[in-house]
Amino acid sequence: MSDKFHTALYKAKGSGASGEGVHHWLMQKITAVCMAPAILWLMWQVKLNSSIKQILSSPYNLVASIVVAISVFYHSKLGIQVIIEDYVSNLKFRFFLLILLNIFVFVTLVSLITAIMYYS
Amino acid sequence: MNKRPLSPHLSIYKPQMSSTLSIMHRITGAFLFASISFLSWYFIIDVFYGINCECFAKIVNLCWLFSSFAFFYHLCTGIRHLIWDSGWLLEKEMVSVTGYAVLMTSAFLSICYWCL
Repeated sequence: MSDKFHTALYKAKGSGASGEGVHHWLMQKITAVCMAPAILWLMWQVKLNSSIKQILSSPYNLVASIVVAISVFYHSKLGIQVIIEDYVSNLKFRFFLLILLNIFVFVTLVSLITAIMYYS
Repeated sequence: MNKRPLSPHLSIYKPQMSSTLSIMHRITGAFLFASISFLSWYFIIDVFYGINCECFAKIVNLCWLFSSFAFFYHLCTGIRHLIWDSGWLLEKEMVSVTGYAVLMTSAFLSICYWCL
């Protein structure tokens, strides 16, 4: 649908396709591919020594943890966004939930990185 | 708005390998989000304030156990999606073959992780 048929109010309300769908889909796949070996490595580290302090003392594990943290929260934010958009029919509640999701993921990510850096 | 009656859909449709594995991929994804959020906040509060209550240790261990199962399943089903995205193994017979392969691989990985 050409943009010239949409009124300004229609665009301001956020109706219609956002044009970002393919980018989100691709980022979902890319973060998944980057995360998979890093998460398997960290799970193996947790199995070898269960003390988090010991795991985070190695620089590889520290960098891997932060890379995984950022990728996990971006990947899951996109996934949960799709779930909310699929199952919530009330437009205002859906908008509220999406804003809440973004704020929650951002705050959790920043707090987690701060805690990891503070702990090690 | 009048709520007009709907014909039964989920209650009567026979659950199949394709649909069940697909919805489990979504459910494990949502569960992993919830558990990673819970474990992250547990770690954050432990680092900055210190959690002395012993009751949380059991919940964290259970969460870690179930998350590992969910993670291996989500990983295998995710790889299956990536294989489909490249256009490979999209035939009907191969879909059920890869379905069984996903179930067996995720069970195998879970057993390897916890028992070796």
